[in-house]
Amino acid sequence: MSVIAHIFSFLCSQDASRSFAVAGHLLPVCQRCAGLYLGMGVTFVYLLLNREYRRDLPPRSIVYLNVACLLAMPIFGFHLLDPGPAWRLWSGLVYGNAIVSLLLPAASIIYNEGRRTGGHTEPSTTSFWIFFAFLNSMPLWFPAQSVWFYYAGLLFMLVGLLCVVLCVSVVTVLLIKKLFMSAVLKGINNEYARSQDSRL
Amino acid sequence: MNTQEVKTVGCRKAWVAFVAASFCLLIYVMACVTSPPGWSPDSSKIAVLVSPPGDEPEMFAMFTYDIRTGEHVLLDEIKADGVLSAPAWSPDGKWIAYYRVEPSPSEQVSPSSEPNAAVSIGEQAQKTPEDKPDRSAPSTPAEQPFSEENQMLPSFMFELAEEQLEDKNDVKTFDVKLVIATPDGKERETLQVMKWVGDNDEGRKSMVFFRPTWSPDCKRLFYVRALEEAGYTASIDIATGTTYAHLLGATSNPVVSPDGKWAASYLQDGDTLVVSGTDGSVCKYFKLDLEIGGDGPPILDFTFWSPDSRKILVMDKDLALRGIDIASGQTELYKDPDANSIAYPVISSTDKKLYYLGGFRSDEEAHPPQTISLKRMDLQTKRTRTIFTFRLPEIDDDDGGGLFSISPNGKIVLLRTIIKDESGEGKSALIFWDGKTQKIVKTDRWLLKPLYGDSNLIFEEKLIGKWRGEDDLITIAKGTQEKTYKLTWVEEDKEHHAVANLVRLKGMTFLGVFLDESLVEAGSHLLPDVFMRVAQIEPKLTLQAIEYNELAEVLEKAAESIRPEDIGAENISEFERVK
Repeated sequence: MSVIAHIFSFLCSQDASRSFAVAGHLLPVCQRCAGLYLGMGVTFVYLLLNREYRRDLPPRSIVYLNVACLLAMPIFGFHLLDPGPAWRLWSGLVYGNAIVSLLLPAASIIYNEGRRTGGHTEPSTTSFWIFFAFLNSMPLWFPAQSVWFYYAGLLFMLVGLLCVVLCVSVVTVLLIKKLFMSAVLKGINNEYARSQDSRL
Repeated sequence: MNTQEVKTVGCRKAWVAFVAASFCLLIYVMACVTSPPGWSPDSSKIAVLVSPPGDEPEMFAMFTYDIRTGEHVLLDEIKADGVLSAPAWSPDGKWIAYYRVEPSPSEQVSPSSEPNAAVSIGEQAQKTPEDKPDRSAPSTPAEQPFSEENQMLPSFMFELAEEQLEDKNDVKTFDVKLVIATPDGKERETLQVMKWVGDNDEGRKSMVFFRPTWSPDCKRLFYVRALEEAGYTASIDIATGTTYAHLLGATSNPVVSPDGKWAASYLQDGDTLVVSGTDGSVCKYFKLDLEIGGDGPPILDFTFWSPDSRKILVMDKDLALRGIDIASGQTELYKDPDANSIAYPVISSTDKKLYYLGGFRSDEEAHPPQTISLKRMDLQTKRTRTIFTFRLPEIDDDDGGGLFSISPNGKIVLLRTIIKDESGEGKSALIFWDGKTQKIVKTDRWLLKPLYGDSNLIFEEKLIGKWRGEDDLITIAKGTQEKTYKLTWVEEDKEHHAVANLVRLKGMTFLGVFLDESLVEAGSHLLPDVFMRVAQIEPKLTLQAIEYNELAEVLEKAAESIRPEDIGAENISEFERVK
């Protein structure tokens, strides 16, 4: 557990007074970060299971919602409005959801160089709204006082973190690959041009 | 061609989405990491008991202090021989618990002399929180010892101790309230009034070292009940008010495991550790032979649990830690080879490691400036690491050097002590170190109530100039801030500076003099170090020094205006204008 707490110490102030205690265990992040990483983790699993990320970027209505969620964070994040733990968790959850909803499909499209498996359908959009409603209900019952819930929460938070690492790694690898290939191609082209010159 | 175009457009949108989402996440993480560290359980605030310097302070006040903003909020205060204990912040940060002993009837301060009565003149009055309807109404008689539900093991110990107490004649008792208050000072509730057995005066003196302990889920509050030299640990269910007695012992503070399942204490020999399940299911005794504390059981918080609730850590006579496994009874030594002692240990709430002060010496030979290190030990690997090192400033040894504490996140060290000001007078102070900065906060001023507000400030041009008194020459100039003066005078060949403001109160004019830069401190510019009545400015400047508290009393008694005879004719100095 101390390793996980150590990892999150680079990412969160770990203010203990603003962290959830689950079954006597303190979560290794503050309430807002708990929401963020849980939101990212749960959204990542949701997108993986229904393969939404391979279709395309989210439809316009969902993108607007995501942008609204991202814009809402400064209001809560900079404590302009701080109505309590449930709101901190909520602001983190919708922020995390918005980030992964954009990040994962974007990384997939970039990695596949624009290839997608088709656009979004009405059922897929409806399922997102149901999922989003579930996310919004989480602050009403979170946290359940059980050790299992504590470990499940940690697991989802780690998954959320890994999702970001995965997306950034995939895009970085692609960029490196492209740079390498362009450098190699440039070298070949130059060699070809030199040989043409000498012939002339 | 068309297909290629669609692909390019799609990638561009994807790149925009990817970069935007990554940046949003990055900005959030950076904002969260660089936000101020959390001392409540958190570390952004402290709850602190403040009293004037001296062995027998006539006042105790409890404040919360925000380390970042410097704002302090009054939670509770008591005068005369009343006393408050050390505060304990609940793990969820919502409540602060403490004990309160009311002043004895002969020492009761009349309600009209309560500080808030005088404050009505000023604008920045700090209001004592209104009590919520108490679960134990003031008229409710205090709970007798052993009024709790018996969960001690073996159960006959409870009855045995009860009988022993009954057999004693002329047993002295005093009432102790168990109180919880919100950190913003808006709510306060007395959970229980209980009788403690012992000498009233001695009990009151040691009360500042006591503190209740919260269960990790904040549903129960553990407390001790003193039975002269010994006592017992009990708890109260906050929701129902049901109380339970857990174990007999001699510690002043309940030692409750992080999972809330165990409570520990020492027997009166100070060397037998008792560990009891808080549900009354099991009780274990461990003979330690560690000569803990030397002169008896430890009074401070130097007995605590490991984060996994499997071991109790106690400090032995060599100031090393011993971990006692409560399952096997095996003892393990925790020692820092690079530090002479492990002082003020605390288990961090964030990384569950042990934080302590190394190099600390409390003996008389240790002269300041001492260099002290905040250190960290991994209890599993026993590896140690120095977090930061700091030097102690010159502190008043008469006060015993002060008390250190380490924030729950292991990032800040706090020293409550007495420091000497420029005039050599002792002032109560809090000193914070975070590895980068040292912050000194003087707290005596917190106990003063502003006698006036900004609306009472006036400015008289006539006061500006050079004034010659019997022994000294004072220059009064216009201050840098509105309605302020800058004072300069020479004493023992040394030039001194002060700032002052002129105040009109109930028909009289006063000069409030600030000996340091406190005038610019937020919230302190109405609490001067020296208060003087300005009897007249022309043709001679006539000043009369008056004690701040005396003036508060005079102001309180005077209905509309103050007469010179209310103040008397002492400490008057005259100054002539130098042209």
